Amino acid sequence: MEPTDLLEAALPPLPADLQIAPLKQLRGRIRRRRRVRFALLTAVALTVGVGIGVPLAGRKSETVAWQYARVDRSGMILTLIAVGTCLEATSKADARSVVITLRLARHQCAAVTVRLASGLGNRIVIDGSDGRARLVFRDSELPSGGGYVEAADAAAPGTAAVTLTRPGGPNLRVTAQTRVRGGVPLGSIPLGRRTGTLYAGPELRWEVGDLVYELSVDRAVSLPQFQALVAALSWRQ
Amino acid sequence: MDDFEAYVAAAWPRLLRSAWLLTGNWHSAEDLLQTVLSKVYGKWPRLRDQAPDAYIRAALANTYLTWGRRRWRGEVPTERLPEFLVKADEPSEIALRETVAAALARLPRRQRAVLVLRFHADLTEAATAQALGLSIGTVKSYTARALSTLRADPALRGALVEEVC
Repeated sequence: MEPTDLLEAALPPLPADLQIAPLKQLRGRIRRRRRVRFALLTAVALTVGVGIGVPLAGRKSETVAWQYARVDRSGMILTLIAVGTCLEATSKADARSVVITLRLARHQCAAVTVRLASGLGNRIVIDGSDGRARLVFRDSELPSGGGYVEAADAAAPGTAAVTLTRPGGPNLRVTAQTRVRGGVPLGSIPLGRRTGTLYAGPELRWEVGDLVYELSVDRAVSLPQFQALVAALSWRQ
Repeated sequence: MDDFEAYVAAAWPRLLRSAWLLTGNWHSAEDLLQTVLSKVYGKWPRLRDQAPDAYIRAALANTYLTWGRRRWRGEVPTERLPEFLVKADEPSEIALRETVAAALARLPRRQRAVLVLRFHADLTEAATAQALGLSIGTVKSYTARALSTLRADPALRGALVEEVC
């Protein structure tokens, strides 16, 4: 008997419950893996200064300025995007605001998340290191579906950014910023409860409070292709 | 994701068998394969036009060896659970299968990984060496030692031909 045949001989029959690929479980694993990679890559990118130079606050208190916050779809979990990989957070909240202070930690590393006692709602989020309100990117503004998953991204100062990717592309980039950009509107398109405005590029923008969210693609597409792409996504703000 | 899922749906049974040859039980094999597929997904655009099976089998062997180096290895059953029989096999088939499986289980992990890549994934010595980060000489040595151990097994004596590797 050849070694090849010997290995075949060792194989028991495939159990009936394992004959079908568990695609749903696999999708879950891929999503979890993407999230972890995103958090780690963001931390590394920010640490090496790809994006920004938000200075560390004074050595005395060891507080760390953070760049922006992301609030998940439930409105309960804030993720702070900041310089440095070893951080810990303290927070206090009232009806108007949530104040979050980051400090360099000796033992805790990776992404910093804060679970709120109640949903963030329309409250502002303040960086305790300097007492100033920071930009809050709401995950509820992100489209879903289309086979997209989140990938690592590094935002420029004053901007929050999320990249969505899928095999074969195109990749989508959703940014949020307070600065209003120019351009000639080409038309509007419904996005769930919101209405987006199309611009040359093509780009799609919609406003939420003081923020302007913008969706763009990483390759050249025609306006009809872009509109079809946007229409195929699920928008549930 | 669609073509990745179509590939996984089609390749799942054969890849799961490869994973079983490494782990020796279906539960760990399924966990190993899912772990590898979730890693491979990110590389799928580059991989789909090449030979995904060979790449994934190499990744299975590498991840299996990585798991072996971990201090924590997940849940380790204390008793051997019987494999579920799908069809009523001949007693001689069952006996041979259990004998071979037991002999494989006694091989060191690296030798087992080399055997699976060489004789199940059908990789060359050079490709096996590259996949596992070993020299070709080490692959030859592991192959020879593993086959020698199997030949020396009293239950398998005579089952393996001598002129291999």
